[in-house]
Amino acid sequence: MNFPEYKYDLSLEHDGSNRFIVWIIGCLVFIATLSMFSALASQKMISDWQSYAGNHATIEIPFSVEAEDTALKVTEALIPMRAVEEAEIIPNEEISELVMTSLGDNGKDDLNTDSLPLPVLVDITLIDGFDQNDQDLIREKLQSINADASLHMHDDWAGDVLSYGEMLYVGALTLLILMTAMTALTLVWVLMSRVNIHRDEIEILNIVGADDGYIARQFQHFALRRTFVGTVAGVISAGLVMALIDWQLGLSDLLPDFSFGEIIGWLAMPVALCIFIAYVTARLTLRRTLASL
Amino acid sequence: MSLISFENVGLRYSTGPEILTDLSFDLQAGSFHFLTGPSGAGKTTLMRLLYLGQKPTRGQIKIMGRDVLALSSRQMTQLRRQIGIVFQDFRLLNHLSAFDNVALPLRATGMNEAKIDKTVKELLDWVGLGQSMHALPKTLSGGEQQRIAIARAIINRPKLLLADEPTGNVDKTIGIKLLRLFDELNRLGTTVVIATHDQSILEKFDRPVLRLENGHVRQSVDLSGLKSSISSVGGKS
Repeated sequence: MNFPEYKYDLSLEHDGSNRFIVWIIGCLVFIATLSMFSALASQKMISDWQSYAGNHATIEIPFSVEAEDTALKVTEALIPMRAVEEAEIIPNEEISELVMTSLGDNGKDDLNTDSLPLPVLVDITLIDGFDQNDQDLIREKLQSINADASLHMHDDWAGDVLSYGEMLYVGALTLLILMTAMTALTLVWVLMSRVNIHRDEIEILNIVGADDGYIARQFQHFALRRTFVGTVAGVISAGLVMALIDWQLGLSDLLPDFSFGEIIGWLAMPVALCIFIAYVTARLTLRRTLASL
Repeated sequence: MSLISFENVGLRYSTGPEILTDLSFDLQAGSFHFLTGPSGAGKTTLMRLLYLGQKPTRGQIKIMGRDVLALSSRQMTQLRRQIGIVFQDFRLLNHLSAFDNVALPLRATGMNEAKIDKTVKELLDWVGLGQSMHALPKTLSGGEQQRIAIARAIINRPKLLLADEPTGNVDKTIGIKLLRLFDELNRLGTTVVIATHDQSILEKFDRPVLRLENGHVRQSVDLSGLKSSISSVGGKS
């Protein structure tokens, strides 16, 4: 990557280990970028599950000869209720398919689900702001139609899935924070070691009348330049890996619906964040280190 | 007018013995002094005090009327810009060309590049290195490197020019030429202090001598017979 010419008085450019700084920052940013998109995917998963589970419930009517008639009665009774937006009997084929997933491929061939005593299920969509009082009213209505019918709130059983999603989200965020801290620590280490390596040159600059700000600017430029190259490399690598995963496995359902501009914006965020971290870290580290010389 | 004033100055590193003890003297503006003494007498340490590379552990040092212990970091930098220093080992930045080494003090003050270009070229011509301005120091001889160091030291037109064994790494002929250069700068009004243990130089140039022995100023010799600008020796008492 070509940059406008910058004249370093210190021999910062003549160090063979410079490329490793770029590699280390690149790797950290690569992981941080993947963590960021993992956090976004987890958040979308949580949001999708919450919006589905929070607004849906299933009524189970145990197998009996009158089960289907009962289901019709339940549907007719629920639709007029304030808290119910929609009520729909789940077709037998769908219930059979749900059962099939538990029976496996062999069960599909050997077993006819029509012969099984499967319950009849009614899927109900609830209004926003559905509360416990609404739930009690529905249960009362069900009891009045069929004492064996039961109401299953999705958010009860979705709780574990949501906890899992939240765990993924917190894990991804923790990794992101950790990588950000590691980037800052890497820069502190790089700058402090460079100040020690170039101590004699710094003394010469001080003797000829350079103030700490002048010397610090050279280190800051050095740090920002290395960070920028490392960050761009890390983000591009992460973008390519995600594109590869998308091509092989499909990512579009996992991530929120982003426009191209939004994707560029999210990818630019680690670059901007790292540049900011590099600037602040360099400024604070150098101010202290140079003052202590 | 006194440009440098030392009063009961002492210096020790950590809990070690005092390297410099009870130094008291004044050097007048526009004067030319040699600082001499055997190896280990503290010449380099005294030079460090003079170019503000070190603070004394006791006593008072005033340079250009300013108490160095009371200076802020910014004031220290401002004062350093009025002091030029030439080292025995040149202390050039070897990755920079002769031009860039000489330009360092100007860049540090934020001067624009066009003016730096003009000033540095003029000065390199003056010290006879106009043809070598793009050369790296290691490709030049000891005498040429020393002239770059001198050019770097004087480019800011310092009021005080210090040189620590400036002839130590060059042959005798070049050493004499360098000292004539210092002499010329002194005639232009720069106060010059040269640390050297080379007796032949002291004899050749009739200038006041400040002699250091075991951390003390032992004697002042004015070889020209003129009154030394060293007002007191070994303490003011």
